[in-house]
Amino acid sequence: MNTKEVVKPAVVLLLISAVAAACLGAVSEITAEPIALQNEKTLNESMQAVMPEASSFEQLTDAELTGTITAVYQADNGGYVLTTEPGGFGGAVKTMVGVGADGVITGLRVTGHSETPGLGAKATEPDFYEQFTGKSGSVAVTKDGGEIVPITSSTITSRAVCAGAQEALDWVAANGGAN
Amino acid sequence: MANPIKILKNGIINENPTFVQVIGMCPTLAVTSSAINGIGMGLSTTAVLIFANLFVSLLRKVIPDKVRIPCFIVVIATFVTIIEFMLKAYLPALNASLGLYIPLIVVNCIILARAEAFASKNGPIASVFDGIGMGLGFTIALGVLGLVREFIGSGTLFDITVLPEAFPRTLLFVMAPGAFFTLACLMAALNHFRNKKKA
Repeated sequence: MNTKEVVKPAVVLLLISAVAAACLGAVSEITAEPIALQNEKTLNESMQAVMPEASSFEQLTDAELTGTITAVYQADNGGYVLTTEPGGFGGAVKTMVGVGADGVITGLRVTGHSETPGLGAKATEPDFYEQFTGKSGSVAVTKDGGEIVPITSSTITSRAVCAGAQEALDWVAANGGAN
Repeated sequence: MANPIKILKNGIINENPTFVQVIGMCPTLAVTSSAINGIGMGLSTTAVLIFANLFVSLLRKVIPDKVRIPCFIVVIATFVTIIEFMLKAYLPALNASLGLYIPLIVVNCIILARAEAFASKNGPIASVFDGIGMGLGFTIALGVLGLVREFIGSGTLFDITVLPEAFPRTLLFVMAPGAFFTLACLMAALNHFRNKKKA
């Protein structure tokens, strides 16, 4: 076999890959800081949406994460913002819940999900999530004896969001006084 | 060099990637649950297609035949990743609505197909026009699919409610089977008109 036939393509491919890698490295370096800033801003904005009265939030890294709770943030007004991932119809329903120091929900948002479009996906609409604001103690859909009107034909999704809210309320009830 | 207008028309109508070549079906079926999703995916694909075609065309004499496919993939993946970084850093609003689809573009076979079938055999200017034409053809196809599915499935057009609340929505159309139904009907209608024209 002719060595030139083997070596030349290999060298060209190596060169193209090297140039591509260098470009990607440079772009990654340049954009790392703006991306981190954007992520932080997005997180802060969504936390502000579930707890409008607070202005700054700090993650509690030593918090005990019960159930599907993934992170707990302490707000400057004594409240807590919790992110939970209860299981829905199509996977985890990422739910962010703001709970005041008095154990009352200040706001709730579904931040990420893979529920059915047009059905369970309606959990991201105000008609549904605003029902949670002001609730305390225990939350459940009307079918389970609670006050939350579920999304039509999407009881599983509605129950998942309720479960997420409940976990957040329970966490604050159990740990809220300690901080 | 072929006429740029002809190349554009070729991509949009004669060799429309979705309706005539039937390639890139995965994003076509998956993301067209609404008009805006379809158009967003189409436009981001167009951007990658233009750049990938340009660079493949510029490098066509340097790239040895034996390793052309790996070379094309490296070029395409590099552009997709750069666009992803840029969107995340500087256009967060656009990233929120399109972010999900950007990595999917790498595996869209339209881009590799155009690199192989057109850009590796033609000059850079013709290749850029081919990228624009094919990209627009793809965008229009996805936009129409999304429009039909959104209208029947959710009763809205571009998120604005157009059907009265009392009118029942056929939810099946925003789910996976609806994508197949809509695509089949559109394709059948287009073929019908094309055959009529020929006859």
